[in-house]
Amino acid sequence: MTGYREMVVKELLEAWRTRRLIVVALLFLALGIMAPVVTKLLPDIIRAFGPTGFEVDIGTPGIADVIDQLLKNTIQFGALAAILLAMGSVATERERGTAAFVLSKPVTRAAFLWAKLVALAVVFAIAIGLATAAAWVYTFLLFHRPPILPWIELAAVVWLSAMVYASITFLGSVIMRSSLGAAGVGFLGLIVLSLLSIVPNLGPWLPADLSSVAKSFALRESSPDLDPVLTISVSVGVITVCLVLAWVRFRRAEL
Amino acid sequence: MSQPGVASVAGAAAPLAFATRGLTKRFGSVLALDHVDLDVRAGIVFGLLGPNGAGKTTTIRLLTGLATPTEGHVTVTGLDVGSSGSVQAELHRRIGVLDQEPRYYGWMTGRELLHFVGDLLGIEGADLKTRAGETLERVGLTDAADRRIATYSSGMRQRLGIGQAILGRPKLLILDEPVSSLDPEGRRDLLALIGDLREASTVVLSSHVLSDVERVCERVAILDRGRLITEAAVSDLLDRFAPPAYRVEVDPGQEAGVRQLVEALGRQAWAGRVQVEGHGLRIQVRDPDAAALRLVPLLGTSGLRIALIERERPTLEDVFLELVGHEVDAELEAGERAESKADDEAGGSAAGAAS
Repeated sequence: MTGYREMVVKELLEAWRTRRLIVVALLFLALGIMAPVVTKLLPDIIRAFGPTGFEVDIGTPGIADVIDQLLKNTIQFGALAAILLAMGSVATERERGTAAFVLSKPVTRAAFLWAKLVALAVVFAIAIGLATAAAWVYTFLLFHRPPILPWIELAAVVWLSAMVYASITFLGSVIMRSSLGAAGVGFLGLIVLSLLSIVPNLGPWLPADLSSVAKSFALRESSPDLDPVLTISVSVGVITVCLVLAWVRFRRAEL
Repeated sequence: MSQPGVASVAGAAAPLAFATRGLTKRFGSVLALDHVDLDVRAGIVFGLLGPNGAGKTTTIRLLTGLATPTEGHVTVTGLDVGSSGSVQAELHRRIGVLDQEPRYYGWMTGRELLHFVGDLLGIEGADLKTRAGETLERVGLTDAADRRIATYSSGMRQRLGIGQAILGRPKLLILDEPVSSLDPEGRRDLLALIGDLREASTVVLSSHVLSDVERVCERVAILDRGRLITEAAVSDLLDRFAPPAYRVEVDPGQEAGVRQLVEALGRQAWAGRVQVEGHGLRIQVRDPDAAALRLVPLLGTSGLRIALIERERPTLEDVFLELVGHEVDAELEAGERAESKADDEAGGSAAGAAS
């Protein structure tokens, strides 16, 4: 893949210079901090802002609640961020003519595509890594010390979830002529996968159930309704299919 | 004149810079390029001419592998365009391209862009630093080298585009409308630069500025509506296709007399196309000997106060208008004949009512 290394460096530098990396990282960091803090303070918040005489027993929050909150935040925001970041990755370069400029140099089309995907993967790895690390530190400070390895596994599954939507949008960015069209493909993928996830026997297989997989990893719990290997395999399969289709489409695309 | 679609081959024994065989490109129902055969020898400046939509930019995109031919094939410096990734990469090491509307990464500085291109071309370390500096100086961007490209004017982007195209010292340099955004100084510098590059590179210059093409190109191809009209040395084209012309200027305020003169010229067998430009006329001639004898007496009888009469040197623009203009005229006439025939067939009364 001629030009791959140079393109990866360019993509990462672009993510830094255009402040995409820093903005996404800071937003995820905030989500990571918020999960344990909000979970810890939730009973006090309800007491402080609830109507006078309002009593509700919500129990003492624990690490499971922190993980619920963290997953809800990062997976939902991750899907949205994935669509927003991936929508312009190829379509914008084609619109602006910079794809034609780069591809008239010694850069293969495979190198051009994979460098973009690797840059997306790195941005999400950094952002989700920061969010999880921040959540771990605040959980340690506000609750007790959680085990490290299960949280790393949780982060990896959240990252995989973001990459599913990034890959679908990335395919849209190759197929469509505009970044808005690519975003449409991304949101369509998100809606279709969400709707399919409510089908009883299909739901547990699909990327939408990665949230349950991440929780089971983090808490070291298992459930008969959950098959982490299958759910992860299907997600990896969705990513692979999207990338293969993107490559087939882009290999001979007119620029 | 060459047959449409078949180029004459440059006589020198230099290797081919590029060759096209039966090169055809369709965009849906639009035929952008129609079976173009072209051989261009290395070491020359080659002009690619044609009106808008002639197929110049399509040809360039096919040469660089950014588009795929519908039929036919292209070889550049002996390599097949459209081959596997590694051959394509080697091909792109040998080509430098300036796009018609150069757009680069706005977040990079001009110097960073050249370093990025240098990295892709495999130029390393101190050599890259030196070459980038020299290139920036050559295209007049040293002072703006460390500014973000987003702040560049279109002329500066065009200069940077020329810089990135020549950085790798390509064997084939393709410049698509390179002077469109340049000021007169930039245009002069670019033409001088092309002259300097002629030793090391074959230059393909696509431009609407025919005087520039005439000044720097040894050979030109003229395309029109996707077809190759001719390919030849500029000097041959001037000899073969550019009719001699006279320029006549009259004192102001004689518009009626000028109109009468134009009508009178239209009746002369030796006179060709007549263009009225301000207070002057440009008269192309079909028979130079007859024109030399009869133009001055005709002007004398016109009663016009003549300010200037001069014989003009034929230009590439004359060749272009002669070749492309005739093609256009012929098609219009054919179209009119077809319409007229259709009207006749549709019935005389209907045609009469319509007229």
